[in-house]
Amino acid sequence: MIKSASTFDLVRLIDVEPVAFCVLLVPREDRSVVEDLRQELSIQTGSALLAIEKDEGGLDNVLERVRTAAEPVVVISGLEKWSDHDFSALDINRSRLETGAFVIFAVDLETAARLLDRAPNLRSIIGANVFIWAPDAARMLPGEIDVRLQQLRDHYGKSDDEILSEASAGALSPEPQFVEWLILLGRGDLVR
Amino acid sequence: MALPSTITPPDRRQRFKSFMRRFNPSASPITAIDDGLIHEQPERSVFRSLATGADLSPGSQRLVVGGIGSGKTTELLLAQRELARHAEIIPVFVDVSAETDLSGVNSGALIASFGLRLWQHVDRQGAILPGLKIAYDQIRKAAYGYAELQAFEFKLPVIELSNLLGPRRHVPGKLKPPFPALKRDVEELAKSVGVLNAFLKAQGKDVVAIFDGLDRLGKAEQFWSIVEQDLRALRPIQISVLAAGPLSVMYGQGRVVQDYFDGVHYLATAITSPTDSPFLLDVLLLRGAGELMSEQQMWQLCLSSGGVLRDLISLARSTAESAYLNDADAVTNLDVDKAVQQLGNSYLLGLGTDQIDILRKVVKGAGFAPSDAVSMELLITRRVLEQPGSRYEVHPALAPLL
Repeated sequence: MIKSASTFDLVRLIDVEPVAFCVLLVPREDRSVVEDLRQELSIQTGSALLAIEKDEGGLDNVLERVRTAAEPVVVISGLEKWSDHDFSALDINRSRLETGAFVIFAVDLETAARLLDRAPNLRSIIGANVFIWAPDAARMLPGEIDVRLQQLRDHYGKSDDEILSEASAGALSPEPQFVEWLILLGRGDLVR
Repeated sequence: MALPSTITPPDRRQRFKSFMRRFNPSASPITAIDDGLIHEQPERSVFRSLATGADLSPGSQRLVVGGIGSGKTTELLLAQRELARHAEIIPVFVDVSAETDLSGVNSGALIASFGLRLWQHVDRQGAILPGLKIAYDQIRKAAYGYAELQAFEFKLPVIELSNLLGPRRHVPGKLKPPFPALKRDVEELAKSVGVLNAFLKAQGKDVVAIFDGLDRLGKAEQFWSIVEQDLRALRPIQISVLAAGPLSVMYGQGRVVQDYFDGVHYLATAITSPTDSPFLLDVLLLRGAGELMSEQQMWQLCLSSGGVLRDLISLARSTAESAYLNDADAVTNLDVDKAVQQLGNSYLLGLGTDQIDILRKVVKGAGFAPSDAVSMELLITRRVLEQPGSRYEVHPALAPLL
């Protein structure tokens, strides 16, 4: 299982290792991670974040925005439509991403797999920094947790017990939504 | 909004922060060298051979080859420092991938980048002769482009006498040139660089060009298609070259590329077992790993790194991250296990069924030969590592996850 990290954890890491690269697995439709990170950064460290999101041009644009970023943290998302060739080109130009910022690739599992496979030079400096984003359940009101759990049950057609049983058997897919499910059930210990 | 559940004592935070800085896989090797964090192993290091070769054989071209994360940039930087000790040598370091988009680079780009840096050395000499300025302008134009007036062309139809005698076909010669002809603009550009070099030579200076970043072009043919014109054009002007090349030039068709160079220096994976070689353990000790972990835990990291230096650094950082987030003061065995598994996951993601089948067979003891594209890819991406004695093994962090 891929290690999970909450927004709070991520910002603690950014605080102690301000220059690094990481892949953060997030659900494809969920863009709330950027806003959460922005708020948590502001609270914990008082620093700003640059978000480079989808439909903002291709590789050249991403490289140029990272190069000229004044913010100490850069979150790159919206790479789902990138081709394998785009990831290879990003890899070849890895040095141009090394600007002294903490760079986060916020992508879904399928995109992360292509990124890590097609960009071995980049993966080399990402190293073990691959996390599943785990929402902070402590921030949600009980009613909000109930609504979200029902959404997950309806979407996957599974009960809480089934998810808990699959997680206990080590058979649960490492999709970010399942990690979120376990955390909302108060069973973050099953996320390995 | 969540508030920190635990307040990290400033000294603990500073201790971890300092540790992370020493174990940062994305840190510039220049910083590591300056901070005295590079542990040299004479039998493994190649920088002295690179520097000596460039010094004693002006005009020679040498390649340092190794897998991703094996320390090629560090060796080139150390070679640069070694060369700079000689007052009569000017080592010019160019990180090509930082200066240009290597994925779409044209022939001549290496020479143009190098020429611009060489000019800085010429410029420092003071009085600039007109010929030098002209050469620099040519290089600058080639690097940054320029506006050209388009002349109006008026052509009269020309009837070739030979065409009136019937169709013809080209009969190829028996002898094939070993390399394609040099492109004219690349040759011209090299001549301009040659003018600057000749000036420095007259001042008693030997120039060594050091090209880093070319190893990002992982496939041998991709690497060669980009560097071939530029390196060949530098030969006649007697500038020594040191360059980083991809691991793939050590295998299959890539071996043809080796033949071009005057020397190919291979950076092998390091021996993982501290019993057989203390090198990796010494790397950890020199960087102060003992501050957070036991020697037994360091042994585990050495074995799990597969002998890939950057993976060793990355594993050490990851264990510290885990300990820090758990509010612990030192790394536990569980942190080590988690870090190894995390690294294995990053190698696992993206693997297809065919690749996993091959890897499982290798784990079970079947042989491995980088003889086809799929196997070569596994080697380039470091899922399979060549260990001493031409033995291949699946990366030890990945193997348990297959």
